[in-house]
Amino acid sequence: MNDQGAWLIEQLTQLIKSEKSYEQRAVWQGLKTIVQQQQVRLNQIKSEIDGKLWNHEQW
Amino acid sequence: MQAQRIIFQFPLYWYQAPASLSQWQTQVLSNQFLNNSLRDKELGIVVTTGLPAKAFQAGGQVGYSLGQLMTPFQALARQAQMQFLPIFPVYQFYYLSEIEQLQLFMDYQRYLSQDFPDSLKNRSQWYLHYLQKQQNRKNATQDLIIQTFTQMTDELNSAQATLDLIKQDEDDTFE
Repeated sequence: MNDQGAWLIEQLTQLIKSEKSYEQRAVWQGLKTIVQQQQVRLNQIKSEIDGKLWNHEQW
Repeated sequence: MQAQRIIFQFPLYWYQAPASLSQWQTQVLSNQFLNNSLRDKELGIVVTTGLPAKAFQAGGQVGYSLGQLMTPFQALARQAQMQFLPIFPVYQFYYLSEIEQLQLFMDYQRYLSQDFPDSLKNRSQWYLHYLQKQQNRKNATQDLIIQTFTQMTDELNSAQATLDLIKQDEDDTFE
């Protein structure tokens, strides 16, 4: 999880607690889920890129 | 017929849509209408159930999946040359936690207007569009949240593009 992602998730968690409007709380919750999914995907992609770049068979 | 996406939403009564929907179909549909006015549009189904998800599978309490139970609608979409969207089920709504209900609220809105298929890319795009449309963002932190999310989405798209490029060179056509 990178710094931006961690910051976002923390902010969103706070907003979900403090937000009075139900609809707006839902938006923050939905966004939080997406950000978490993006983080996982980004890590997967970066790892795959690393793996392929360092694959000595392909040099 | 201006709408692009048509959605039937109903509670599951005796493993099918309530009778009022069948009545509507009898009164409103015709072969001419189906064959000419609906081509390339999308058909979605939102169905609420009293039983949990696990009941709707071979060997489960119901013994059939929702996909199987909704086959007549798939036949309808097929005749009309519509794209049949994945079914959007809501199982045992009252047992959902508050977080699950909040999440459902957004997932339901996405079902109405997000591009199919439901990829992470399309989901991210939908949220970006939704956030940008919200006019009442006067709070600086919330603006920053939207900006940061936009940046992260861009970063993800770039990384994916880089990976695709590498795969092209390797002739890795698995994905």
